[in-house]
Amino acid sequence: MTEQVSITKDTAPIGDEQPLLQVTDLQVEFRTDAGRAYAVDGVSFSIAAGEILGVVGESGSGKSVTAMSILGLVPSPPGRIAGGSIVLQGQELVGASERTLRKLRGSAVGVIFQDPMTALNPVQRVGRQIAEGIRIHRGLSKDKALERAVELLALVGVPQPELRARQYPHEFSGGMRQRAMIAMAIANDPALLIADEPTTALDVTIQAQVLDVIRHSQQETGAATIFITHDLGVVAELAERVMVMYGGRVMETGRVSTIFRQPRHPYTAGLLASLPSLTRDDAELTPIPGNPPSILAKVKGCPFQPRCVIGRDRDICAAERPPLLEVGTDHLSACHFPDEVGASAPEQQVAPDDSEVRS
Amino acid sequence: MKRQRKMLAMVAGIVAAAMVLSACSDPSNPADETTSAATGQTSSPAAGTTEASSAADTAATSGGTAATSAATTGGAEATEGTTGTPAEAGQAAANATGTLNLFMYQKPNGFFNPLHGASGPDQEVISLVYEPLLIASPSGALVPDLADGTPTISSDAKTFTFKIKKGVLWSDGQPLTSKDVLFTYTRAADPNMDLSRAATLFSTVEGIDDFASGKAKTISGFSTPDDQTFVIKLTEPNVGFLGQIGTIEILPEHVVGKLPIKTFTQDPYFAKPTVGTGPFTVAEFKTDQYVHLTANPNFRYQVGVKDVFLKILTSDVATQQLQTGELDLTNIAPVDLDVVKGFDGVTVDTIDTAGFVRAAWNQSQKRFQDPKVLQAFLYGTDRKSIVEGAIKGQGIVRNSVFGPPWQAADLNDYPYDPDKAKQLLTEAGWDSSQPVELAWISAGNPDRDAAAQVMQNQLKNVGINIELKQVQASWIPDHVSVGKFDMFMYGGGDYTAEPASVIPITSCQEPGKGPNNGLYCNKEFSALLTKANQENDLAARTKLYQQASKIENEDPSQMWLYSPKSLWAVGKTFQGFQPQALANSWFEPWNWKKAS
Amino acid sequence: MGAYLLRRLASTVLVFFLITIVVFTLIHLAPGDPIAMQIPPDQYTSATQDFIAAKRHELGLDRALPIQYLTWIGHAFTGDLGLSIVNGRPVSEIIGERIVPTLELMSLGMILAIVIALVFGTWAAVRKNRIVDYVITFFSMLTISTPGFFIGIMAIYLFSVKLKLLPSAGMSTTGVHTTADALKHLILPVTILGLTMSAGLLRFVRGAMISELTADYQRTALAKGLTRGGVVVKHVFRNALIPILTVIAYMIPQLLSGAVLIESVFAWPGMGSMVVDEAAKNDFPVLIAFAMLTAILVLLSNLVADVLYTLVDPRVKLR
Repeated sequence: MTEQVSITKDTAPIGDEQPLLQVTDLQVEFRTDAGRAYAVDGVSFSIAAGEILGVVGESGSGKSVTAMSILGLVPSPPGRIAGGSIVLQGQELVGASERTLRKLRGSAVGVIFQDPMTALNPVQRVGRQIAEGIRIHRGLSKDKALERAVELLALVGVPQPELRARQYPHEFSGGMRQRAMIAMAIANDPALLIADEPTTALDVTIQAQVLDVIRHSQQETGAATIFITHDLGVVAELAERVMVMYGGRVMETGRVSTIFRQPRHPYTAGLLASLPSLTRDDAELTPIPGNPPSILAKVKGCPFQPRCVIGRDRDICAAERPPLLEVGTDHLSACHFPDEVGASAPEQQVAPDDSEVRS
Repeated sequence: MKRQRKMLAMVAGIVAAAMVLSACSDPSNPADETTSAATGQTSSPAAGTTEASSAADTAATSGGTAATSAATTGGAEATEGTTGTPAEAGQAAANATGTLNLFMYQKPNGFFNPLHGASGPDQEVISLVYEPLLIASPSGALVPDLADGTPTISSDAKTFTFKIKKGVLWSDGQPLTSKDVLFTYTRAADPNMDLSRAATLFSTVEGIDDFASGKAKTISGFSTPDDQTFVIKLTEPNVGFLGQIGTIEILPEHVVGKLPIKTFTQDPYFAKPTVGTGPFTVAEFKTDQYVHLTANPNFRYQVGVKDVFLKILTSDVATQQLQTGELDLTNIAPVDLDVVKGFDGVTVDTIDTAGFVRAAWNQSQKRFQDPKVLQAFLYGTDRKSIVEGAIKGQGIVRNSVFGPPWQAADLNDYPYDPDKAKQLLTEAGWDSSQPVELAWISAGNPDRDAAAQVMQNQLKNVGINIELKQVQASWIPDHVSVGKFDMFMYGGGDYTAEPASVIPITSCQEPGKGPNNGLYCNKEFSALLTKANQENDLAARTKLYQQASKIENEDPSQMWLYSPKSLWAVGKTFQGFQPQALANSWFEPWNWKKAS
Repeated sequence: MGAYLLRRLASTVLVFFLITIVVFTLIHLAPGDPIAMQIPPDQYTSATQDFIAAKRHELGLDRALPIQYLTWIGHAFTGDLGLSIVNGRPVSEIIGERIVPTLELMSLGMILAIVIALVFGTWAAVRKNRIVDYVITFFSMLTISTPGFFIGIMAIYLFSVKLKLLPSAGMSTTGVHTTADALKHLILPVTILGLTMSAGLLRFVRGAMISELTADYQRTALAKGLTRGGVVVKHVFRNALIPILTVIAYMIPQLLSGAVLIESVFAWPGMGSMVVDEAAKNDFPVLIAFAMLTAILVLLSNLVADVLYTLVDPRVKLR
């Protein structure tokens, strides 16, 4: 009963080598008291080695679940991967044994979580927590692992790392905690970093610092990064490619510069339009009216349809699920009428020059 | 939706389980004992009541005032003394085998001293370790134990002569002589002893005043003409005296003679008394758990059982252990009769007791001074139904402070007649608006709770407004003993055995100055009693008491309710047990045997 | 830490004195004179009132309450807890005799309760909302709502009377002094006690574990490559243990007070049943000594719990 999403070889990213990670038609369901929730409903994307992919969407769009399911970290009694495939470095992860996944967790794939205060164990010293991951995968002795942890802390820019390693999370500031988390994530030189809204819990000034650290770490390790956020500004600054999700599905995916200048999906356009601008003289913000769909029911057509300026009154949008099709070079959109989108997207000041992003 | 369904299922499961559990508990299920177990005090039969209520009862203390039976001078019942198979010196325990586990209904104070007197459970031990001159037999009559033959009373009822058995040894090998008897009675009569009751018992002994004041070193009324003879001389005739003091157990003068008198009854020696003439000696007293006694090799008869354990248990646990065989003997309450009868290997013996449950009126109150009012209480309460309901018919209704043969045969038995009651109250000018507070100690006696309830319900119909008040033992000294109460219900009341014991509790007195708690005063009645107590001839004496009983029947000294039977549950392997009317005094325990 | 401890000790001592004063006063205000209560009213004579008065004077019960208190507390500090009014024995002896059976029973019961609560509470938390959780929750609810003595009586009926497997009451078979016999007698009461004491703690453990299990750092630990079991033991359990330990520390005073109802049902000669008896007789010295000991234990265990909490949880600072 799953709807096929056509995957062309144009979903392949920049460059011709095999993608580091290829996700195809992923479906993740949750069993809730209110019934079955379709959190991820046919999501496909890929990411190349060393690439930074931004994943954007509202709360409930399925972005975190998508990322978590890569490592099988979706809590399994209520949730389960109902279909699709996740191939990392040529290895199929859907249906893989717990042992296989464990080998990857914290080594080939590192995770940076959203709220470092709760993501770190409050009663363990920071250095030890970082060292734990090292010891599990590298078998180092306690002392050697701690040494390495201190090195990592220095790498992420924590001053007085030897002292800090012996402290507890509550003795760190918010930004420093996140740096520690990053240190933990990169401890074993991962090939892929998953950052799940790493700056959402931080204030703006710290945010910039942490983004720097992430960027720096990514460069040091050469890891591909999936950067989940609801903040378009961060995506613009950090990511090379972006994937916009809504209602558990991919709406649009492509290069940041392309999409920000010329979105080809009404949702993306709406998101961009709702951003406050420093230059323009807006009296009011322009939100997208309406609410995100309930994930308790599988939507037959396009999930954005009820709120879509283009598709509101169109039967095909309500009845038929728009496939993710190429609409330009390295640019895919899941919309029946992608061409009608350009008309209403104003100039954005948010997207900086490509050159800065590439540095 | 799903979550609600799960909750529902859980609730349904719990309800179902509860219903199953409640269906499982049928009347014969010991689980019914739970409510009484909750208080830690359980339904003990009237004779073996809890410490708290026994403070209010003249509990079955054989050394006490009232717990003894008729003097047997030439009595109608030709009773013999206690008997057994004679044993060679030091060989009494040679054939003793087996272990008996008997119950003790409450924690003993640990003063196994016959002169202490106030505690029932301690008495269980005392009556195994020591012996008195006279002892109550199962029929209720007093028979000689250490006495050799029945004691003689002079014709003027003032001189009593005891002959002491020859060849009786203390457990340490020393011979029992009249010296020990003299010492015991002198000590008992000494008002300087702590907790002394000398005034009530020995006030009529010759020379007692000089001794009490210190003028004389000995009591002239006590004498020992020879090693086997003990003589008591009184200043006035008192036939009942024998019954009142003859059952005090004899103490070894050579062992306890030097203990200080001021702390005598609570002297630490008595926590583990090592020397007695009785068939057993105390081997171990594990506080709150049990008292362990072993056969005394120097006893004069063969002792059948080697070890006896008196285990301190509540009656629930005792019943349990009876079932499992961990206990060989216990008293049971009437409510448990059917259950226990159903136990394998257990028989139930019932025996009439002399004590009765009664409610004393405070007769210093004007409204209780008209006999018509007192009679109205009796007519207005269906005492038969209380016996049927509260104690399952295991008892009889009482209509006199005496019992047979001392009460007349044609007494008014006050059948339930509310109309008559109403009529009497009107005649007496009773004021229904004034409530009557009925107090009692409930712990351990559910039959009394039931009795109080019945009284309240039924007397309401005739215009007597009873207010119920359950109290603790602490209430008694401040109220009952000093005349500050309306009505008080309690047990004890064992005056049948020795009718003269009625005298102290019915003689006119001031509040707080004696044991007449009801403050009853009937000069004619008291006069007859005094006369009877001076009459040596049994037939004449009996007639006088019967006459007195008729007076008391018309002018009740207290509201007599009922005499419960004593129910003994005996394990199959326990042979030779002779149930006593008194819960704490064993009869011929040396004849007990434990079958294997 | 040192300064904190000193301050706490000072306030603990103060509270202790206050407690003893209040309890002392209350006990002495209770109606019923213990000496008068020892004499059956049927045996009252004209001399009885004098005797009671003399005895009261001898025991110092007729002096002003503050003086009695000061005398008592002065003696108590030298270890002299006085003599029982009811039977003249030294209070320390009376308590000493009863305390060992109680400690035996309660400590074993508590250990069992803790083990049951930790094991089953954790199991229920880890398998939250599944069959195992429901079954465990059902039984712990059942245990909480059923009175302990009832369970005790039913257990005795089943195991002792019907199946004849275990002795029904008491600490030992009369006359037998072997360890095996003593152990046999411990099985039922300790089990019942353990069950009843575990129920509340189990719910607490389950709650604490659940809140820790759903904590974010658990996910982080998984993301590092730990096995699920490793996460539970190394991270979750240790964190959950913090509040659990303090709850357990508060359970310590129960070691002394014993379980009155269980002691009654099993005829266990411990502190609980002793206090009930003595209270009925208004035996002041015993009661006040007991209250004092309990107060000490409660205050100390509170202090220990507080200190323990700060030691175990680095987020909490001593003030």
